[in-house]
Amino acid sequence: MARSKNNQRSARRVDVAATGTRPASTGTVVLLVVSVLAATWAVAMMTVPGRLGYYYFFAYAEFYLGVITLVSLSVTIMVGLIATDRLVLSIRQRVLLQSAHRTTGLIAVISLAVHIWTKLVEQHIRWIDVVVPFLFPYNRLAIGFGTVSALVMVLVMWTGLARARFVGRGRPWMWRGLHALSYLMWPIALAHGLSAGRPPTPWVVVSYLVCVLLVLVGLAVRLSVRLNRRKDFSSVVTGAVRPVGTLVPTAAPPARRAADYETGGPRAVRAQFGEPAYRYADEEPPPPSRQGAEPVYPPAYGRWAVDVPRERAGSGRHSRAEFVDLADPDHLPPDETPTLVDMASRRARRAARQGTRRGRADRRARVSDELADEAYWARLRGEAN
Amino acid sequence: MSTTRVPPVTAIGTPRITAGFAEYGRLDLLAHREVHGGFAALSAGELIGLADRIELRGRGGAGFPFARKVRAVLDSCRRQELPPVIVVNATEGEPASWKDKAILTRGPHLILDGAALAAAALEAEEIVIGIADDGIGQSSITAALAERRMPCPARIVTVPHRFISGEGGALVRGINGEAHIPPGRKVRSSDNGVLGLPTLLSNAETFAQLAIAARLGPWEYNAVGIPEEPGTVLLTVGGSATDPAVVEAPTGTPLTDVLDMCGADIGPGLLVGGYHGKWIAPRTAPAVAVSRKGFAMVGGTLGAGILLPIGSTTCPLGEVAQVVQYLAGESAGQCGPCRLGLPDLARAVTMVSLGGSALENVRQAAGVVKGRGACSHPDGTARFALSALEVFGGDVEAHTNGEGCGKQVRGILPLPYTAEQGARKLAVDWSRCDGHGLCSAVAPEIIRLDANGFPAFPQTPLPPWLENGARKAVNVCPALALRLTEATR
Repeated sequence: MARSKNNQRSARRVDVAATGTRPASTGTVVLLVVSVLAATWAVAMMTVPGRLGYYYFFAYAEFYLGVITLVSLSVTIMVGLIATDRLVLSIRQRVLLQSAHRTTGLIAVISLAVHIWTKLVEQHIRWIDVVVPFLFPYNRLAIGFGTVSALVMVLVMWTGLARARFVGRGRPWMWRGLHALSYLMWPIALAHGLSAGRPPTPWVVVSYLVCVLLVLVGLAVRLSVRLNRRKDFSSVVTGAVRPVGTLVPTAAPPARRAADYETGGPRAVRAQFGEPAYRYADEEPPPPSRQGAEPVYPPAYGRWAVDVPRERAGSGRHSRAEFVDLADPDHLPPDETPTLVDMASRRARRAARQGTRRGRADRRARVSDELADEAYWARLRGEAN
Repeated sequence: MSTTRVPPVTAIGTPRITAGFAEYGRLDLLAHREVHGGFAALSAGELIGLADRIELRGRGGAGFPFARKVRAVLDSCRRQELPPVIVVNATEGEPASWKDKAILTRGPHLILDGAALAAAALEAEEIVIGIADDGIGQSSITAALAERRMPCPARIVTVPHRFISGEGGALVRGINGEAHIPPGRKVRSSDNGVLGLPTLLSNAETFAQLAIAARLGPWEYNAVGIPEEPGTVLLTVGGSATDPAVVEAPTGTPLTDVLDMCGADIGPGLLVGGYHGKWIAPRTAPAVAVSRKGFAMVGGTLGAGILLPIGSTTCPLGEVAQVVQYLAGESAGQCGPCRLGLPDLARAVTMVSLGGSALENVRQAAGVVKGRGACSHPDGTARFALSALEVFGGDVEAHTNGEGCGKQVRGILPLPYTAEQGARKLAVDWSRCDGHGLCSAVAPEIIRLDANGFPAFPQTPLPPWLENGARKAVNVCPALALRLTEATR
């Protein structure tokens, strides 16, 4: 009997992906590419033909990469615009165009980096001109345009990469706004490209102009389609929510909670100044003090505006976190009945609460709110989970 | 899975495989010898004779006669003049099954005895023990292997814990260093298995039963159980059972005895044979005796001995829909009909559970996948879904015509990926979704479009290997409506 050989081996290496190929991590791929490039460069520098090849590459890069950047930027913008079309293109074509958009965008940013590097090496610009525009003494405007558009390009590419982070509440518009900066940046980049280097031939200028015009037309189509395709029915039909009745102040102005504890809170105020008088004008008979003299306000708080500007009720959705939870006694001072129209005090209270509830606790509260919301809607949809 | 505990082990009648578990907890070599004693080595002919006379069949679910398997391996060895390899399949990818893990963690020497017996009889080149990488049982079997001698080199191989990695062909491929998914063309592992050698591959419990039989001899082994299928079987009782357990019972034990022992409430249905098995109606349960024949008589299957009573507190259709969604995600993705057909089937079942009358759609989707894959995963999933709709006919009626059963989905049927373990779910902001449909083009195995062109995807947490596709779908969504929920680990 042979001795037990307990050589334990793991087949874990094999595969976890569904198709039998294991995707390498991004870091590994980047490291591999960088080291291969570095090794190639090092080897090339050690041989005469390598050095010659490097010289030719540099000459090529110096001469053409600005053009390549501009062309691929233009292609990126146009393809990105076309990819949003739903009238003509099928789903698969749109997916294809989206990936083309990403690829050309990546090409644009990489060639931009090489372009800047060659210009730095040639000392056509200084380091500071890479980040701060309009400092270069010679041809200030044209080169400054290049700096500006380079910065915006990098920003827009970051928004493209970090797109999934913008899927939170209310953020898609932030993403769209940032990403659409490229429409503003593009003419600046064109101005830089056509004026900073060698003078362009007329057909180049003309074709760029045609591209700009086409993109303008495309943008107009996109905007008109979007405006005509409103699917938010409720905001069209229902008017704004408007309070009815004259607004009069509630008795006790909002107080900070910490102050409540010190002074005894509104209860103490009430004991001192008597029962608060009224909430709605038509709810109770006006107290006598209102007839002649001015109403008495607690001196500690001073007067506050009676004519509160009405907040226009938005047509969109309300998040639960923005409502005061009426059932929770902690959220309200005991004697303050919240009136829906008394926006000023609500706003002040919210501000006071935001001062205290911040950071992690706030986020946790919001998360639990979201969870409760989700459960509520799931129940409504009938997904009994 | 590493956080879940192996359920307790009990026995009806005299325990055999689980003997000594109560006294010793885990049987190390000393305790194992004390409880079971020694056994004599067998020749190949004696091994086949023994397996024949005790009617030993594979305990992994398929129930292939062990003696025939050994004969095929012997023939192949003679023909090719190659030594065989013994593979013990203890991967147990079925999430509801615990029997192999129970033996692995508490009586590992029985498995090793059986493997050693077969290896000595067949003069094997090596023994390979395949276990799942969920950490359960790994230390136990490693320690057991270290404290004893085997007739040939033995090694332990971990494969990722997946539903289909328990399939024999997938395990052989995993051991050979290939992708651990079922081979596209059926390769008989008795001809060409591990390292290209003839391979005797069987379930861990099969080897343990062999070790028991080698000690008792065929006469005493056949003293319990029904004559056609003598001996004991290991059953995993889970689901709504108040005391889930691994039960060793002689064949022929009334099913109700086993269920009552574990405090199980059958409710509207009992799932037998795991997630590739079938549902049986509660009214037929009292007549069933635990054996392959007994279950076959009511249209069920013993399979790997999994008994999952659904209980009356949960929504059975919702549970079934969750499991079908899970099974769809477990597709290896190598066969198109399975990769894209199972999500369709899952969607159809989900529609039924949500109240649409789509029974025909389920039948149609099941018909599309049946028999159209390299392994039996599509067939098993279709069988599971169809038998559920048959047994839960009353619930289907209630869901179609009324408010539904009014019960919540409690997760009685276990799923291995949960949000607590870091699995993510897809979620969509319906107010933003505009039905562009790009998500379904990049991740068709997760997201399908409904009749209005809006995405439909499983509500269950995604298995890790589908997360990449889900992320792609999130990235192409032009409305920024789709998202992956944060892992709540």
